[in-house]
Amino acid sequence: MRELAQVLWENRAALDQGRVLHSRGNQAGVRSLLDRFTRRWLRCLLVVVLSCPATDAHEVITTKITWSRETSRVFNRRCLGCHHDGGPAFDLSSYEHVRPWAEAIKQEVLERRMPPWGAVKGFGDFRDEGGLTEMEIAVISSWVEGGAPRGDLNLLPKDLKAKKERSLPPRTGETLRASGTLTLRRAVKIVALRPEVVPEGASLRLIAERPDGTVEPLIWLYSYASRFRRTYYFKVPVSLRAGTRIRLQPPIGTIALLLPGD
Amino acid sequence: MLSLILLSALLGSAQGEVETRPLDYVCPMDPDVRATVPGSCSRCGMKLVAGAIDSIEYGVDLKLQPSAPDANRPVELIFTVSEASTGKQVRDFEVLHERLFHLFVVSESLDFFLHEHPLLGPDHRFRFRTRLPKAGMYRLLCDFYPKGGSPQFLERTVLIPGAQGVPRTPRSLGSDLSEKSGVNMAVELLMQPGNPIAGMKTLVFFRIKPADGLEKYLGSWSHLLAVSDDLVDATHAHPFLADGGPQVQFNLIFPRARTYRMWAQFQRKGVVNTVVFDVAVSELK
Repeated sequence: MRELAQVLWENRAALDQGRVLHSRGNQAGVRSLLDRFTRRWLRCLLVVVLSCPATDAHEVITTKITWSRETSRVFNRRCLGCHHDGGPAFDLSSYEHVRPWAEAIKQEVLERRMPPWGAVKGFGDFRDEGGLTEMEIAVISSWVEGGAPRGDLNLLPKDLKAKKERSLPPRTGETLRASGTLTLRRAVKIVALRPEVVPEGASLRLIAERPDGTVEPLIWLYSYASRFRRTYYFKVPVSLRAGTRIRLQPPIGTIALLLPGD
Repeated sequence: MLSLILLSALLGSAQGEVETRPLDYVCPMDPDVRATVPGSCSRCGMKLVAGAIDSIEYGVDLKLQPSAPDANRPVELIFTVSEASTGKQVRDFEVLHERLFHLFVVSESLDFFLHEHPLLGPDHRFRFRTRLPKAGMYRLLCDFYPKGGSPQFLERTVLIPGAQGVPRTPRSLGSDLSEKSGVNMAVELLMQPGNPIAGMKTLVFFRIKPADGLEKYLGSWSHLLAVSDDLVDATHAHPFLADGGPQVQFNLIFPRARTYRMWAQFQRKGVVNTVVFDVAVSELK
């Protein structure tokens, strides 16, 4: 049941719009589902699987955390960059849009699949970090677990639906590749990292051990999903001397190290 | 028209609109604690603030002194807090549970735990001297409250090399719910449900023996840190229900089907007790 809910959740946008978004890695699964059911049947199933608890008028509210006061602010910061009307993912900008999916959203957030940042916070320091903080995860999960109340709409943030402005990433040039252990023959500055070949679902860390004994945590990928592959730009480029050992732990896959461009 | 208004009112309440009017004061750290008048949080003792809180993002820069510390040698941890959007250094902090900064340090092996309080220097940086006992990875969980912002709980990582570089020392935890002895008290753990399920609320009860002499520690009847065995999840919680009596209740949501190590801290008759339990969390089936 949970697996089915997961597939349906991941492909909700596709079901809404008749196309696959968010789910290049799951296209085969979607097609097989679409072969077996008409879209209308699938929509019915979707409602049964995920929406029943949400529309239960007798649900007990056991939290004082509300959409209007707390949860909408987390969504505003972390979700609406993609999940807005006309955006690349389905709309989550209002209580009415979010409430039917509250339980599924909670699972996605707790498993850290959404937002699809893919790296553990506090291991490397990146621009525009998209992962949720522990406190944001606690707000969403407690709100859903407590019955996902709406609250007083007068308390909604004024700029809900606002698109987040992101700074332009720096130019990148030469690329080095770390598979296992890479020992630098010259000093470099790394401006960004990009997973190249990483097994689905893998968790791995990339660290830099400098000759002077200092160690730099570069990135910790968690439960890797190739469909959300991205480039991670450091807030401040990481300077590494010749002789630095860059190690992938465990030594599976390849991560590209992007050096500055012109 | 009246019937329409009534109907809409009924639907509103049925959909969970529990606030009949805005509750004006909220705990910045425990947002489900509300009050209509100014005061302190019943759970953690923090000053309640008025209105809805628009969080500001912050970052923590960590420097080590010396920059390449050896295992079990003195090292100073230096924390600089800044606003994420502007990079501007934060100079003023609110008191949070009787301190300006709470630092938890946990080793990858989960053998090492520390809850201490770096001090704010004249350069507005926090400093703390310690020793990290073995080579490996340490996660640092930083709890602070910038003035004009909201409470933060942010992670950093320290890697201490050994002879062959930084070793990985992951820990495979089994469940350990047995009664634990602290310095001057014992603690029994009970949970509801007995086998916690990921994503569902778990009521966690600690029973203190002997029952007398419990005191607030840093503004709360207890502090609990729960960390997943892969160090990805970390939660700092305060009791949902406690009154100085022998039972202290936390309401927790364990995020994933992993094993979590919980460090629970209590103060009895002036002595801080730290007890450790390992909780295996199942997947919802």
